[in-house]
Order: sequence, then structure tokens, then C-alpha cells
Amino acid sequence: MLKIEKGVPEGFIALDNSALIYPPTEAAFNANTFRISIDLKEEIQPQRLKQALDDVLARCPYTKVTLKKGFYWYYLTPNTKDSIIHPEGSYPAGRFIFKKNNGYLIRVLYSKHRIALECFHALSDGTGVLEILKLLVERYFAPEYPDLSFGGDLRYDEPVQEWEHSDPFQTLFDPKLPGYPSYSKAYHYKGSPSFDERVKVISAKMKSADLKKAANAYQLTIGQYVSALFIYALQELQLAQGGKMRKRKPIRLSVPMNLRRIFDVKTMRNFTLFAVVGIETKRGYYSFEEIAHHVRFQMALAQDKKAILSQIRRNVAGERALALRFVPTIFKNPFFKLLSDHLGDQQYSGVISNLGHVNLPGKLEDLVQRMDFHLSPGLLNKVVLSAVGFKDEVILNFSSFFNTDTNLERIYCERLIHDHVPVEIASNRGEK
Amino acid sequence: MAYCVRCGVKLAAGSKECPLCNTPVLLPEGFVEESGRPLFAQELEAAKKDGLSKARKGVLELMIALGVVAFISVGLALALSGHGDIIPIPLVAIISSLISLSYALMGRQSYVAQSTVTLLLASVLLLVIDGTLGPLSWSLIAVYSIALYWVVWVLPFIKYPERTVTVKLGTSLIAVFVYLGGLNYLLAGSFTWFVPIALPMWVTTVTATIILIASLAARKQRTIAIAEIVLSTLFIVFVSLTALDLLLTHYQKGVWALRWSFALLVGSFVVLFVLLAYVLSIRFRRYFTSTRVPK
Repeated sequence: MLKIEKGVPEGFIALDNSALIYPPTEAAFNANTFRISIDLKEEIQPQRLKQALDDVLARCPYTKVTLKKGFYWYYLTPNTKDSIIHPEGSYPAGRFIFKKNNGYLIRVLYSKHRIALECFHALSDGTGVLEILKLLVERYFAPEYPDLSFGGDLRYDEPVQEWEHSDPFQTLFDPKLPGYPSYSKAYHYKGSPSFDERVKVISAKMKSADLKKAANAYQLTIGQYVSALFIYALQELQLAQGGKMRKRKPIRLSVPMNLRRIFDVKTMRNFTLFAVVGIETKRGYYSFEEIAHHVRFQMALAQDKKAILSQIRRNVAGERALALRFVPTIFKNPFFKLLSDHLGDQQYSGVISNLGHVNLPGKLEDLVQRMDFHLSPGLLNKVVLSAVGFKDEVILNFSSFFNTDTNLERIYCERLIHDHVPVEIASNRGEK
Repeated sequence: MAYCVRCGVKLAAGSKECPLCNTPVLLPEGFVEESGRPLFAQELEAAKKDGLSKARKGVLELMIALGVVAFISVGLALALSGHGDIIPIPLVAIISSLISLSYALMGRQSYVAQSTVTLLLASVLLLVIDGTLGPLSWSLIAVYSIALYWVVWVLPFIKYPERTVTVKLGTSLIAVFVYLGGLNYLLAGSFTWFVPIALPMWVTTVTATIILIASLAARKQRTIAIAEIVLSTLFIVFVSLTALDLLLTHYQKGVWALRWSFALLVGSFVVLFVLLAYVLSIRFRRYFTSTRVPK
């Protein structure tokens, strides 16, 4: 057991700065989970998968943890319970029932051909969990291909490195920097009143070459193009809603940025901040070309290191403020819950997360059929979008709480067709 | 593999309709499409029970935390100042407000359920306050009044198909009658003011109400204008107050006379006249409501 400092519980592992908000705000319609999955052409063997999971947990002790509620903060502590793998259900990225997972913050699911890894965001972000999934797949294939490697930073045969469990937010914190401004309330698509907690998915599969060609036509990258499309679809929905133009709220997207690339650091914990890009629709209708122009420049500006450091300063200063540190959890939790909407969900109209292109090792190229990335939606933004690329394909997954309302997804895909990107659609929604 | 004729997207093998626009897939007769590998398990799980959303959970946790702090500080203050015997009062007050709030956030979101719980908690609190300070006295009357409030303002809203408006109104009027009699008996041990004042006044009010309701119900025209409801209510209030003045003067002075309600009596006649004119004369009504210039 680790004992970090005096006066803290046995085995206390502090949450990283970005993770602090997730445990207190976990609630119905706010699962704070995500899923990354890989579909193989061959059938999954559960015993092999369980062994692979145990190997991963042994190699990465920071994943073999459980979440505890301390007097002042939530914290992680080593988990001695046995790991569990679960058969996959119909709805991904739902609310975690920690008890049913023996307290683990990562959940491995399997179906006939799929290995899926769901994670509660307090443990790590998409990039971190993708590394864990890669290691899991490597260990799964270890009996057949002992040399199989995705070439990532995490090596099974190497001991745990210090960077793996470091929190770069703390090292990048500079108290001399100014704070970071917050935004006004953004537009939220209300949609149909029929919704429930189950995450309904519409999955759009397309060729990355087609998508790249369409994006390049507007001088955008794939990531910028899928964000611009989301803003475009939301604008169409806002327009259809009617009302006076000058009273329209801005449409903004929250786009997680992987800070590892920007600051050239490595960690297996959360190291993400959100770029906010959008348009002021009260000024008038924006053509797609105009949206593309805004997205291109706003995304570039959002990656300004100084602005990001200022944002880190605001977040870490909040964590270190005496007034907050020594307030018991029972008082902090309700404020976190009430403030998270005000400082988060209310400020943007949608969330889009792009995991990027996943390079597969040569031996796996023929064995992998598909990859997916799913986010959990929220009560204010009931439709969220996640993207992942592999081989020559890109998969966009729309996760939604709506039971029947698919307007946003339809407008989005129609625009893709308009831009000459052939799209293949599949869904977990029951056919009526 | 089919394409949606509306959206233009390619559909997963075996799809019967487009998931985006619900346009059905129409295949040529006799053409059987091979089912592809489904994206997720086909056995759809049932919708989960509604849990508490983030904001509701936040408010609830905040109230519980503040309740605990409030109780500890008030309890300590009372104990240290030598008033430890009345600690049950803040304890029950805090607990009942927490229960009330929790029920408002988590319980049935209906007027009947919410008001019933609130009235019950208020009754318990009043009994505890009274009981802590001495033997039960005024709280019994307060709880009795709360019970009347429930019968008059909550009971009629319970959905019960066989209960008509007349039955609901009748129940409320009888409840008021029983309440007044009971109150007099509880306070004085006999019906001192109930028989000479409350009973005749109740009869006057009920009679005026019945006459007006019956006259409105007997009308051929089914719709009742808001003006009629307002005027009828005014007439009943004016007549009842005049009756109260008359009965009170007789009870106190021994003479049948009006002391302060003469204007109300005149007012009631004016209201009745306007009401009758409104109901009976269509031409008269048109005079006030029509935008046409009368000839």
C-alpha cells in the first residue's frame, strides 16, 4: 500500500486536477463515462480476455484502483478485489454501477467479436484509455503473437514509469498567470420530450479519404470539419425553432484537446482541456463556408499555449484555494454539482471528441474489423459526437438520450452526403 | 445493402428502416437481404428507473448538509444556554423541512401528494412545539384547521371519476359546517356561537350558492362567462357578510339591525341586478361587449 503523506487515509492517491469534478457530479443523465472498443474478425474468448485484463491491471497499478469519498476530497485507493469482465449490452457509455464492477473504474465488456473498455472519467481520458485498450489487446493476443505491439508508450515488459501516474496540471501551474474568462449561456437543442437514461447510438461509417477530401475543400482538417458540421446542424435546428434573431443564443462546441501533444508530456491520467469554438447566430445565418472559417481560426487560437496555461492556472488555483481545500466533501459536492452546469454544460451546445487515427500493428490489420468511441451524453446536451479513425475508415458515433428524435444526426449526415462523403449508418435503436 | 431514399445514406445490412428519418426500406418482391453483424446486442434493455439528476442531487445534498450544521449549531446554542429541554423543536423543524424538500425533489410530482405531505409535516411540527412547551392545547385547534384546509383545498383534487363537482363542493361545505361546530364545542364546551351565528350564516351562504349554481346549471347555454363567476362570487360574499353583521348584532346587542354592512347589502343588490341583466338580456350584454355602434 502506498502512503503518500501524513494525515491522509491509507493508500490515498489524489485525483488529478481535471478528474476532481467527475465523482461529485456523477448522477442520472450525467454518467461521466466513455467507451472505446475494437471489433475483431475472430470470436472473443472470455477466459483469455480475463487473463489479459489481469495482466493489464498488474502492469498498470494506477488502473487497479477504486474511488473513495474522503472527508475533504474524493480519492483513489488500491483495489484488492478480483477483476470482472462483462458481456456487452445494447447501450454503451451508460452510468457506472461501481459495486457491480467490484469497484473498478474501468469496465471490460465483450460480445461475440468485440472487446470494449468503458472508463469513468475520474481515472483517465480518451488517450489514456486507448493506451490501456491497446495493452489489453496486446495481452489478449499474447499467446498467439507474443511480439505484437501497437508501438505505444506503454510497454508490458517495462516497469511502471513515473510519467504514467503523474499529474502534469500540477507541474504546469503558474500562480503568476491571470485567470481565464468564462462564457455566457449557449444554445441547447431541446428536441423531443421523450428521452431516458439509455444511450442510443447512431453510428456513421465513412472512408477517411472521402472525409479528408471534403474537409480539404474547406481548408479544414478532419477534426475541424466534423466540428464545423456539428455547428452547422445545430444552427439549422436553432433556425427551425424560430424566434427573434437577436435573441438567439450562441452555438458553441466543447472540443477536448489532447494537451500531451501541445506540451509534449506523457501521462496515463486525465490531461485534457476543452477548446470552445462557435458562432454568434444572433448576428445572422452563417453559411457552411463561414462556419468553416470560424472553426479553423478558433481551433488554432484555442491551442495557444499561453491561453491553455491560463486555463490550467484557473483550474488548479481553484483546487489549491484554502477556502475550498478545507471545506468538507459534503459541502463541496452540492456546489460542484450546481456549478458544473454553470461553468460547463451551460456554456456550450454540444460536445465533440475526436480520438484521432489509431495505428494498428501489421499483424492486427487483417484481424480488426472496426473500432468505436462513445461518449456519455448529458441532460443539457443530449446528443454528443465522438470520432475515431482506423485503417482507411472513420467512425462517427452520435450518442443520444432521445428515444426517437434524430434530427441533429439526420441534418449532419445529409450535409456529409451533400459534400460527397458516402456514409453508412447503423444504430442500436430498436426499429419501430 | 440498401440506401435511404430520403437521406441518401447507406444502411446497415438487414435494416428495415433508416435510423435517421424512419423511411422504410422497400426491397423488390422476393428479394431477401442477408442480415449483417448487428452493432450492439439485439436484446434491448428496459429503460432505467429515473434517478436524481445532477441539479436535484446537488440541491438535496446542500440542504442535508445545511440541515446538519443548523441542527448542531442550534442544538449546541440551546444546550449551552440551559434550554436543552426545547431541542426537539429545532430537531423536528429541520427534519420536517428536509423530508418536505426531499419529497418535493423525489416524490410524486402532484399537487395532492406534495400538499398532503407538507400539511402532515406542518401538523406534526405544531404538535411537537406545543407538546414541548407544555400540555397539548392550541396545536389541536391548529391541526383541526389544517385538516379542514385539506378537505376543502386538497381532497377535491384527488382524481376520482365518480365524484362530480357538486359532490366535491358539497363535501367542502359540510366540512366547514362540521369544523365550525367542532371548534365552538372544543373552545367553549357547548354550541355558544355556533347555533345563533355560524349555523344561520352557513345556511345563508349555502342557500345563495345553491340558488346561483342551480340557475347557472339550468341554463340552455352551456358556457359560463368569467364575468358571471366573478359576479356570483361577489354576490355570495356580500350576502354572507351582511348576514354575519345581522346575526352578530343580534347576538351581542339583542336587536336585529345592520351596523357596518348596509353598503354591502346595497352592493349585493346592485351585483344581483347586473348579474340578472347579464344573464337574461342578450341585447343588454351585447350593448357592453359588442364593438358595433348601437342604433
